[in-house]
Amino acid sequence: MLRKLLKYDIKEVGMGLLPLYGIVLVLAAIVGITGRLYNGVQNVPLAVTILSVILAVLFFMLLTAMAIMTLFLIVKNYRANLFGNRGYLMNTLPVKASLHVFDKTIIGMLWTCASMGIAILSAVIMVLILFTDNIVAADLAREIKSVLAPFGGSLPAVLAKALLLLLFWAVSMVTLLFASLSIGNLWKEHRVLGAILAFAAIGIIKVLLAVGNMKLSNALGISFTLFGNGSVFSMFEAGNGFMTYSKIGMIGLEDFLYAAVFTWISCIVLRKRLNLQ
Amino acid sequence: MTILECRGLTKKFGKVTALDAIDLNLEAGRIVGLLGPNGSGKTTLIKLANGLISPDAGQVLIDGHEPGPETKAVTAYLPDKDFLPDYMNVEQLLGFYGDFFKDFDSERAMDMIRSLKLDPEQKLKAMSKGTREKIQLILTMARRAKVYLLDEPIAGVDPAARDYILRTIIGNYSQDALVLISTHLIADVENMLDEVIFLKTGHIELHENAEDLRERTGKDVDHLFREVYAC
Repeated sequence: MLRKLLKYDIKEVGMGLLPLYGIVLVLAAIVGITGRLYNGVQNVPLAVTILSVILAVLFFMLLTAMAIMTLFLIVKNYRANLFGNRGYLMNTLPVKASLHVFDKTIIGMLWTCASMGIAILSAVIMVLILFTDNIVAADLAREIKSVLAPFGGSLPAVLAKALLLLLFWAVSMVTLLFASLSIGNLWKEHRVLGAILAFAAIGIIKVLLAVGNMKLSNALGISFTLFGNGSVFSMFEAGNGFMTYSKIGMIGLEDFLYAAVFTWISCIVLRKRLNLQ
Repeated sequence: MTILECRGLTKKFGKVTALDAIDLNLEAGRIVGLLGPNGSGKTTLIKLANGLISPDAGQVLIDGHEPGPETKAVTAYLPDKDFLPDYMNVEQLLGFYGDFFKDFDSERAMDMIRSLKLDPEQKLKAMSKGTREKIQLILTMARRAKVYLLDEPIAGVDPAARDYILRTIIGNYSQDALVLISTHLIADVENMLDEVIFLKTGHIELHENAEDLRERTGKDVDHLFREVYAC
């Protein structure tokens, strides 16, 4: 059943995002080509300069739109399918409530990661088109290495850490969104407001937990804690040592603990407190 | 055999009691009219049976189970809302129902679609409201379910569409199934009903075999309804 749910939800969210992905990638290539044509050319016509600026601005606006659309479609997919009119169909399928929540979580993570991947890919396409004529491969590799050095060395190591942290963040954020929407559904009216307030309240609880836990760990002389493991960027600054990976592990544990609690909240609301009006 | 059972079923919305300790047993193989004016609790009862809202007290059982995946596998539900994904076309909707409901008879659904001369490639959002309602009914009635819960299937449609809907229900329900139809348009459904339930402000005013009721009172159900619910 999970496979079937995923099949329909991937298609539904994809209908909104895939065309946008296509436009972002094409625009990245166009920005790259425009830049490359006039790279090193003196006295570039004003019209071309203006066009290049417009294209670059448009590209960054599209990237922003893609991020917003991803969030919007993930939320819409959950809310409309489970608490809107379509809930009269989805909640009468012979499927457990927990399966609906798992399906939506996988969908949310999948499209969050896909959108981030497309953003990175579009930047790579642009850089490759712009600079391959001017920088030889060895130089490019040396440049990348020097840029990545402060973040923990080699490209694979940095990528692995980034992917892990992205996965942890996505699972925690997506399940938090769904738990907030589920709590909002408990309200008789103004359910969106209820969801926003629930999101804010959970955020405050997380901060309080982190602060309390950090104070406690400082008092006990422990170098890192279960909650409030700090900035994602600090992971890249500390190299590839055991402490770094231990800390990444703690971040993962923290995010998965939160995700488990948020998923439990969503499941309870769907199973015991569903209130379709 | 009892297929749908309510025991002290109570549902409140704030200070309003929509259903007040309802006790009810409905048997398989019957067409039952759940009758009452707006706000009498008909939709609430049907939603509770589908697990779309939770009771404040008591329970509702379908085939001996509380609402859950087991009951949903044997219950065909037609809500009084546009509930289908409108980005799908008819063919995709048949595939969707076939994927999730083992009792869905896609051949029968396709026959009904053909009889309406509908294009299977047409998307739901491109259809008129009346056609969408017919598609919803076809998908519901093409299941070989044990229980059909039809919430106001003929409200807000023209008389010709009403005839089509009622013909589709009569012509397609499984003979050993329970069909529960909620409506306030009694005259249109009276002839097809085996039993009638009158709901009034969350209470069952009357639950009786339709034929016995007519013999006992010498009146048809529509007239009785008007007497019970006279303002």
